[in-house]
Formats: sequence, structure tokens, C-alpha cells
Amino acid sequence: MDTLAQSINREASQKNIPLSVFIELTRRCNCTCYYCYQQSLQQTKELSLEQWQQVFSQLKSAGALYLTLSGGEPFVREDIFDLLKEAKKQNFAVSLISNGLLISEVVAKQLKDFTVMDVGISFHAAERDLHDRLSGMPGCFDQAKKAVTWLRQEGIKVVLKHSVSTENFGQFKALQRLATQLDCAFECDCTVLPDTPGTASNYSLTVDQYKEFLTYMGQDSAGCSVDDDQAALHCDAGRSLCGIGPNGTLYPCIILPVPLGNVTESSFMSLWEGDLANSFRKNEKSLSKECTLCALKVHCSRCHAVALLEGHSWQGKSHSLCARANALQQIGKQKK
Amino acid sequence: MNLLKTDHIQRATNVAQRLFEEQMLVITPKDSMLHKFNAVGTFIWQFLERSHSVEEIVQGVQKHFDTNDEEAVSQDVITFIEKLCEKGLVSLKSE
Ligand code: SF4
Repeated sequence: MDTLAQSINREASQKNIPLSVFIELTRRCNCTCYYCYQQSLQQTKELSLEQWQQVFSQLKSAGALYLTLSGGEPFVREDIFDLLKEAKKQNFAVSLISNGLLISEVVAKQLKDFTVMDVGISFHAAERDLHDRLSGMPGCFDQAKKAVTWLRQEGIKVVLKHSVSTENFGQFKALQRLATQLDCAFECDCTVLPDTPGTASNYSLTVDQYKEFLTYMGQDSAGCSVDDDQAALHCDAGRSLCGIGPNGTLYPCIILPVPLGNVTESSFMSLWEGDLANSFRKNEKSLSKECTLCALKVHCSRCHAVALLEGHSWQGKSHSLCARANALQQIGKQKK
Repeated sequence: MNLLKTDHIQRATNVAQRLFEEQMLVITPKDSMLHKFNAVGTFIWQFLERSHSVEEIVQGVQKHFDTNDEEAVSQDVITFIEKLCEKGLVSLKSE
């Protein structure tokens, strides 16, 4: 049975209502995480508070409800509380993603006054030294843990976010325990975006690592039934979700670098209903034959962004998606 | 909870909401749960943009949905407002 959120999302996807918008407020960050693709990107001009106020208002009119504010590190923006105030005024449900370094006890208390649904805090490892080394910031682990504790004290939902890679493989077990201990939710992702286009990230998991990780997480399918294999390759990017970069560039998804225009030059709605967005949606029906005819597609957690960043086209196949699908197929066979 | 017709109701200020295909989506602040209101619930929620007494809400619903059955409308309105109170979406306004 669908949850209400799933059925609303499906309806939004069918009607191209941008229910969830992921906003990168800045590329600036006080950490230098080992895998961060943002470090290879140029610093860019950032929209001002006034410009974001206008964009929020246009997103509201377009039907957006969920706003994820991220970066870089969103708390390096001095006007972060003004942005949250505006998001509250426009009745958005806000999720923040942060490394926790700038979340003091006072900040945690202040966040309670806004429409913040949850704060995601990134953890590379459950071991202090490893986390600090991978984030490039001594003291980061202890501060992130303090941030979680302060947020929880205020009753704010915290999601401990972890990216599994070859550098920290196995840490997910201890991090899951840490999440329970700190009374927060745990979200684990094993997609590592490459910082050099055209190749898979050096940190991408092997098939055996995918198998170990997915088995541990109790995941034995990509979430689609066998007779629904076309849906397996569908993604909501550019339909019920989109992303906006620090300088106002609109994307079907924040990690899918297919620009649909800039919200400082045209209104959000004119871009969302414009030629670029419409042709992106139309082109999803013509994914590469490698994928549409692929025997593994029911096991594939299709992501057009990963396909584009690891290959040459968002409609093509991807090394890490294939490895993951392979792992899921093997888990399925073992179960039988 | 015993609501009086004279009680004034006001919406909580930290509620995320959006009108979605003519139905109101509201997220309860305590547990971040998503709720969808039916047509009457959506009307009441929008009517509460400004604070109103229970009696005014009942009259508003009767007028908007063109019904004279005050008894039934009162009962529905009170049940709905009580649920909103429980979820922390509205509160009684202190005079
Ligand atoms: S990305 Fe790989 S596993 Fe997924 S459908 Fe394409 S070829 Fe198959």
C-alpha cells in the first residue's frame, strides 16, 4: 500500500507539479570532504536574499511544498535565518543538510521557530579520526555529534546521513548504532558522484561491496515489480522534483547537470513549462537500448545523473548502477 | 476536550502547507507527518487564515456549502477542530 506521501508524489509526477525542490544555496564550505564533487566546480555567484524571496514565492505558486536547503554548507550563509524566515512565511516544509560545524546550542534553539522538518548531518564514519580525515577538518566528528545532541534536545528531527564508499566501507554498521544511540534517523546512500566527468568515481563500490551493504540494509530489490520494468527506468527528476543551483540555474534534479535556464532571467514557471524542460521529459522515453533491453533493469536503481556523470549521456548506462543492479540480482538468486 | 461555540480558534504559525489540486496538504509540526484535507477541511483551514470562533466557522461552512443543517455541520466542525488541536495545528486563542 502506498503511503499518502507516495501517492501525492506520484500524482505530482504525472502532472509535473514540482512538489520537492532541492536548493544549493552556496558552494562555499568549511570542510573539504574527500569525495565532494563541488570542489571541482568553480565558485559561483550566489543569489541574494531578495532574489531567493522571489524564487520562493514563484515555487509556492507552482505548488512546491518541500524545500531542501543545502550547499556547500548552508550555514555559511549569513542570511540563513532570513531565508528560513521566508520559507516559513511561504509555508514550505524545510529540510536542511549540514556538516554540523556551525550548529551551536543557540542555533539549534533558533531553528525551532521555523518550519524545519529535519536536519541531515553528514557522517563519513563512526570513528573520530576517520571522519575528521575524510572531511578534511579536525574536530568535525565531535562537533557534528554535539550538533545532533543539541538539535534533538530541541525536539528537531535529525537524520544521520552517510555516503558509503570504498574509503569508509563497513562504517555503516557502527553508524546505524550511533544513530539509534543519538535518537536520530539513519539514511545511507552508496552513490558516489565522480568529480571527473566520463568515469565512475574511484570511491564507487565493487559488486561484492554492494552485495554486503545491500544485504546488511535488508534491501533485496530496487523497489519495482518484475512486470513493471519500464517504471524501473523512470525517475521523477523534472517532474515532481527539481534543483536550483547557487546562481539560480534550474536543473531537473540538483545532481543532474542538464540546465533548464536560470530563475533570475525568466520566471520559474516559464522555465518549468518551457522547451528545454519539455524536451527533457520527452527524451526520458528514449533511453539507450542498453538500458531498455537490459536484463537487469528490474534491479536497477536508475539515476540519470549518475549515468551522465559517469558516461556521456544521461540516457545511457552507468558503471556503478550496473554494479549495483548486478549485486541485487545476485542477492535475489541467493534468496531463492 | 469540550469546545464551546464561542471559543476562538487560531492556526499554528509553524505549519507547512500547500494547496494541491484543490485539496490542502498540511504537515504536522510535531511529527512531520503529511495530511490531506477533504473539501470541508480545506475550506475550514483556509477560513482560519484569520482566527474565528467555532460558531463563525460553522456559519462559514453552511454558507460555503449551502446547507441549513446546523446540527450536523456543528458536529463535523467540532470533531475536525478537536483533531486539529490534538495534532498541534490550531489552538484556542486566549482573549
Ligand atoms: S544502468 Fe546498467 S543495470 Fe541499469 S538498466 Fe542501464 S544497463 Fe541495465
